[in-house]
Amino acid sequence: MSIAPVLRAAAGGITRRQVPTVVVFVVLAASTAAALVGVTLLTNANELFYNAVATQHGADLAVTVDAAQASPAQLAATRRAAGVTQAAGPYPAASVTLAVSGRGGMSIPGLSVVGRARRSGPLDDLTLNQGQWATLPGEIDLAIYQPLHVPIGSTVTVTSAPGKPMLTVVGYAGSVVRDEDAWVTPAEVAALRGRAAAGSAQMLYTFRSAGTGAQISADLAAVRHVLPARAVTGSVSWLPSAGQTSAEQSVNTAYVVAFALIGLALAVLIVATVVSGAVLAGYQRIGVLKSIGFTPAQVAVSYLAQLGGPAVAGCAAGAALGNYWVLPELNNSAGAFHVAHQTVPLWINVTVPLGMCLLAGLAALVPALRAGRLSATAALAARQPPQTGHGYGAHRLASRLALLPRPVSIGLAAPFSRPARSAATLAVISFGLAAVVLAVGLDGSLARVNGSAAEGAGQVQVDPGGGQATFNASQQRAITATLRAEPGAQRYLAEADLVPFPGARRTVSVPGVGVVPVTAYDGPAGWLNWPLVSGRWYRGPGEVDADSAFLSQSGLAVGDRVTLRLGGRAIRARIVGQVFDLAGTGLLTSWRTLGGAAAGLAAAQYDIGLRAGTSPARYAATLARALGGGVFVGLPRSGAPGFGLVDTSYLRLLTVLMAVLAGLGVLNSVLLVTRERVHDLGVFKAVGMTPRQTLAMVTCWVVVPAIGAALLALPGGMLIQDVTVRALAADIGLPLPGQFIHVYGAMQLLLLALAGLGIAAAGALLPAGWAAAARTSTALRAE
Amino acid sequence: MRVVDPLVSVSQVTKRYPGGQAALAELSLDVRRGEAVAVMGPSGSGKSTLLNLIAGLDKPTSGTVTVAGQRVDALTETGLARFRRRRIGMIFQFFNLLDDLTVADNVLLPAQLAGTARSQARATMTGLLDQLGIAQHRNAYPGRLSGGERQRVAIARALVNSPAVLLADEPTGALDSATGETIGRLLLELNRGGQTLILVTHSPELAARYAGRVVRLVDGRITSDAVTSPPAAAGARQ
Repeated sequence: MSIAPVLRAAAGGITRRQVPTVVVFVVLAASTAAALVGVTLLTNANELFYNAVATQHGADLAVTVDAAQASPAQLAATRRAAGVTQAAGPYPAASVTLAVSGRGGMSIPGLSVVGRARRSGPLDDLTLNQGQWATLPGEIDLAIYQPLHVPIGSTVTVTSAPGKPMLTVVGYAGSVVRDEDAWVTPAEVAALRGRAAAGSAQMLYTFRSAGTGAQISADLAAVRHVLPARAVTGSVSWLPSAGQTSAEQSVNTAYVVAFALIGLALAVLIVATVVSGAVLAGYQRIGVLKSIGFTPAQVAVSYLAQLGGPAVAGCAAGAALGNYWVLPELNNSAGAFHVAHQTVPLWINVTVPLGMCLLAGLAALVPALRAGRLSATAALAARQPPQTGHGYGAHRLASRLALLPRPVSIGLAAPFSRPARSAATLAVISFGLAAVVLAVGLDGSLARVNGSAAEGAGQVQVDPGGGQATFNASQQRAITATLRAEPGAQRYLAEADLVPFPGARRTVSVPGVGVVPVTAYDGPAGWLNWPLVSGRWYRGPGEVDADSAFLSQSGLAVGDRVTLRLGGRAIRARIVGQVFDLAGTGLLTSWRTLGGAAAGLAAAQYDIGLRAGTSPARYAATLARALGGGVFVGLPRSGAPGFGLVDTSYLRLLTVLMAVLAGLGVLNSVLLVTRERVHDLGVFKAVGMTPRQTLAMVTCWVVVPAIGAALLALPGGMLIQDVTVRALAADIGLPLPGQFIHVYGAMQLLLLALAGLGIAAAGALLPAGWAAAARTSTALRAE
Repeated sequence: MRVVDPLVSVSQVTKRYPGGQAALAELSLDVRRGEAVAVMGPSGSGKSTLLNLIAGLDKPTSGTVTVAGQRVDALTETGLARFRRRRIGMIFQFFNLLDDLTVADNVLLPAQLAGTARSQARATMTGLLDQLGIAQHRNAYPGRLSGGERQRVAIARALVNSPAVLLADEPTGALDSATGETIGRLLLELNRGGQTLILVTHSPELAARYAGRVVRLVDGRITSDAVTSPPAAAGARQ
């Protein structure tokens, strides 16, 4: 087969059809870039984490030990415990509450501060992300992943420590296994220990086997075995950090795969439509090529070659664009993990663009072969695609819609005259809209999950200060009096937190489970809106709600009875609901279930609900001023592990890409119809249709496909979102409340349906404008 | 004797297409109300270009075109569309009907675009279909009609807004001679009823039989302009 004439014919086709050529280029560039970003993100997350664990000598287990219970010699002996391969420490440690000046007294309790003279060590090299390492008394480095973010150089108050010392934030650092929240000099730790907290020390270990939860439990037991009973007060393994990375990867996998499939489908659809459109619009050209001696294969190859140039260029440009988008993210991740700068692996840079080219070739093959098989005489005689007589009924019906202007009713009926083209347009809009629906739903679910940390806590909280675990009677009287006096509070209640921390006066245990955290509310607490996975909120004494971790640990379910042991008493209660909670809340019940103040319960926190329109931050600041010192007023913490790590910027980038691709698909489709109907457009204009009426008519061509697409894409996108969010929840092992999955409101769905119409209209406007501006005499001459 | 202003006035018009010779060269032509003018000439002489300029489908490179007192060459695209609706009816060689609209909807279209009241438009359409003998096909689609029937539909569509000028570009060119004869007679009857008619044709017979004035064009210039019978002045349409 002589290739020169084929290439010349292809070049002629490209020159004649510049817009479809540009559309193929842009579509393949955008879809290749999206695929490259997706594949790179998927392969990058785990690789970076394990790389960082290796280079930073990440510990398998960090153990907190009560220094009063274990001597330095006993701690040193743990280095020889069964399975230990390496150990570091002891590092002095303390659990503190930090408050920030100038933020309405906002305070963060339970932060783990460790005294480290140097960042590096035999285990757990710390990475300095910003600022400098704390080497002087009064300096502190905060962990980048803890919730307190203040500018370097600002001061924080250690409210839990005697004398409430102030520390200057000199930097932000990170541990790959995330076992600490802040670091100070070893000498500083002693000053930060509250009266209630005994001296603590942190030991770091690596083990021969530490890949699973069971292995970590065995390793911890080996360490405990060497130490006196009750010496170990806490432990953090590397598995949650790995799990968090894995959860991030899982959710990224879920949505990146969903978007990649939608993007590929769009690319295939659009490429196939462009080539089949070129075949349909080029009937006469095919006839001429065949009449001058082109074989069917040469005709097919000339149509494939028309696509080849823009496709290859588009895939190459897409690969470059994908690298440009993803490299900053790779370097950010590398920076966060403190590993060498990353590049997109060569295999991704080769296989993704090649794969997209191949896909485009396959999409173009069928219409190209069809062009090759066309009879020369039939093609020359027809000059235009044969009319099939479709759409008569629709036009007849549309002509009866007297309320609509005639150009609009003709435009609405037009898609029925070309059902195949309209189906392709509908499919393109459907995929684009489904991507938007998925993105909006994912965003909504993530927002609700992240916001859940703030639910069940009131809009403003009051905590005791000065190292106190609970409020004393005079503080409680002052707080309640102030809450009644200050406008803005709609309701409030006190809660007792029976948390199993060292030295706690009251703890609750459950047979077969051990000590469990319990929150008891002194009053109706339904308004705190704890998200419920199943069941209901407790209605009175004798009923409890449990979090998923407790149910999983105890093997109990909603409806079962549970026995709580408090101070030697056995309290029978029924589990009436399962709450969604990522912070390990345990059990939630009424103050009276546990026996109230008579049983030694004391308020450890006040939760305040505000009147509508009251600013929580402003109210918190006012309340803090009114209450004076001794207590801390703050806003609840937000952010949820696992879900919070979803990269929403890429989610948005991919959504915009899909919407643009869909718009280009519509543009291409409408352009083809405009070309096929150019003569009809000339007739419309000859009988008096104005440019504005022409614009309206052509734009209305996409309304019916857009409505069809909305009917398909709304449930389709919601289904994909449902599957994606459930997959994410399954990955982090937490069932989600329905309200976190079904996030679409009626108004939002209406707006999404209109978004489909918007995508369609945006794609149709350009060719509609061309149609409106076309010279009538030229259009009438065109065939 | 009453002085009659020309309904159509083409003055010193030149039309040049990009990269080509002038299709019309400083051509001037006046057509009075009620006249039936046949424009004849060989292929490429500029007949269809002249018709397109009068219809406002195209604009002259220089010169002026005035129809019913309106400067067509100075109108915007929107103005031209409105001008065509109100002043011009066009008939084409290949009918140019819209295949997916019924006969009735094809005829109604210009009236609907012009915003004519629905009842009035339907009454006019029904009257025209009756007058042209195609009322029985009102719900048929153009693809199922004969060539002559299609051209009658095109004539009905051209007349639905009562245009000042009826322009016909080779109206019998795609028809057999018997059907062509029928269409020719129909156009003659319309002209006798006062309809101003400008007809482009290759056929000297058609021109001689159905037009009162024959204008010959060669290379974009008028080579002859002869009146063969007086115009149908009585009852001239506006």
